[in-house]
Amino acid sequence: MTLTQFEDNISRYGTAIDSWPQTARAAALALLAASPQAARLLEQASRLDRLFMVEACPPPPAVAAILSRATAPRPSAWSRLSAALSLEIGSFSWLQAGGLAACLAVGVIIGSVMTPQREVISLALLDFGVGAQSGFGAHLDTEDE
Amino acid sequence: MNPPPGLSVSAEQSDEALVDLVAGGDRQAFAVLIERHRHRAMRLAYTVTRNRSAAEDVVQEAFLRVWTKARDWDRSGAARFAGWFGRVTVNLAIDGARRVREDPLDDTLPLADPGTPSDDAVHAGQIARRIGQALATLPERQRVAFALCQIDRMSNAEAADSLGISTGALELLLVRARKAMRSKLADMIEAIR
Repeated sequence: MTLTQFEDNISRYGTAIDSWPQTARAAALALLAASPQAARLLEQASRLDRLFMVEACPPPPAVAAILSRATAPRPSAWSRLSAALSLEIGSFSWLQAGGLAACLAVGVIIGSVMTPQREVISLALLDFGVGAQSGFGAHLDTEDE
Repeated sequence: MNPPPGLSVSAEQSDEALVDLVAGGDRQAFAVLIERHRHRAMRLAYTVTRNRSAAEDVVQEAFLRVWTKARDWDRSGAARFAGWFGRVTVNLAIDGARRVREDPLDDTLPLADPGTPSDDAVHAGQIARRIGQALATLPERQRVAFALCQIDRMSNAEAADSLGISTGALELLLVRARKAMRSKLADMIEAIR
């Protein structure tokens, strides 16, 4: 086993050589006995382990807090949807709603009024020999959208 | 060991036996399970998210899953609760870490007590900060592999199973993560006795 393979195995299997696969263990122990550099690599990896053992971690939530939140009665999907909708509607003023409805109505009226005119224009253009495939026709369609 | 009269659970019961009781709505069993795994869950969640409040949310959500999914627990196989719970926690922590990236203002590395910090507390805070910075630079999959094997002490096979990847793929992530951490924390490693 080379030093590179040894270092790779430390990263792969950890610093407890006893828990390495049987095939790698004997070669690793032989290398350790013969190579001070191998011993140093193992020592550095062990120090990394110790570093993480001393790292502070914030305390978890208390048992009672976890328990009460997890076991609290959960509202049904329907009531959650209702609550969400009422929240949305609640933040939406009547003025805004009226404005939206007016815009919708104007759009419907304009659409119904303009459609026949577009057909008349198209027919007139056909009379002048300008087809729908022409650049003008395409441009008209694009602008209209 | 049988539980004392009047109690449905004892501290010696296996995780899997407790999950069975939790499936029946047993809050005592659930409390024992929470006490047994909450520190581990917090450490795992915090390692992945590097954010205290996000990690707390992950722990809460992970135990909520236990409470609501206990009935679906597969009793027929050899599945271990610890492995399943680790997987759930890590997956939630990955989502939590993504939200933290979107809202980085809520970053709370553990710091020393702001009152009268002792040398040890300041030192612990510095270590935490450096480790946090180093972990944050790891790609997410490497960080998760590192968290499961280095922090949660899972075997490579267990961690691979938790993540739904092959052991070989897990080990590849682990090799890269550990080498990166050794390199990034080289000065601290040298200073440790």
